Amino acid sequence: MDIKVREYPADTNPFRYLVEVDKGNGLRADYIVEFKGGTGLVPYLDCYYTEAELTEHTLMVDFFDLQALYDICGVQKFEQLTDMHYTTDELEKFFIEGIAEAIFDVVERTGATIVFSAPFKDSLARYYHRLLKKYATDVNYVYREDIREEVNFYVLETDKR
Amino acid sequence: MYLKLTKDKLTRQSPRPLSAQEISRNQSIHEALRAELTAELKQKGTLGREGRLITTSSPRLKARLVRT
Repeated sequence: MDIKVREYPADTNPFRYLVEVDKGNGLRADYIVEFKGGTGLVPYLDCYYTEAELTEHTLMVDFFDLQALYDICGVQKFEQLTDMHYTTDELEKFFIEGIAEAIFDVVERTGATIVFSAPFKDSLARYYHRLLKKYATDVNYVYREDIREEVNFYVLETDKR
Repeated sequence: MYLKLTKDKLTRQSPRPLSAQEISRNQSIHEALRAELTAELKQKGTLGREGRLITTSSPRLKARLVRT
């Protein structure tokens, strides 16, 4: 499975990334990795961090299947939505060598000290928990399990903090 | 070898499930972002322009696919 990660900036968001996954035999999918910062994040974590850090040095991350976005808004794109049938290993590779690479890059570009995610499904939350426990310390990031336990946001303090 | 899991061990390995309120909150966050992206896509026909490739032959983390 081949994974490419590239910057995909727009006027609205210079910190947008594109993760391209190609499994061969016509199985490919593109994902938008969206980072959001600013004052809107303050209410989510103001029990744990200062308003200044949340406003200036914090990013929320989420990702979206690009073809699904095209489908929702009815814009024609000449590809079929592909079910990628990820195996367990492929899914881990997608997160670690795709989404995580985008996180590392945006942290280097912005100096962000906090990156967090807000999973809306238990299955996704459990998966994030497993990956963060397994990998965060390898890159000198701190996974704040106490925050996860209290408010169910998945928070990483980066090596810039 | 049989290993009896303690309550602490279970707590550590399995995160607390999302409450209904947390699911609703997180769903709202996700849907708001998605709505912004679809609005942008409708308006501009694209979400960005292809920029610098950041993938390298030696990513900072390599997936360790042995089950832990």
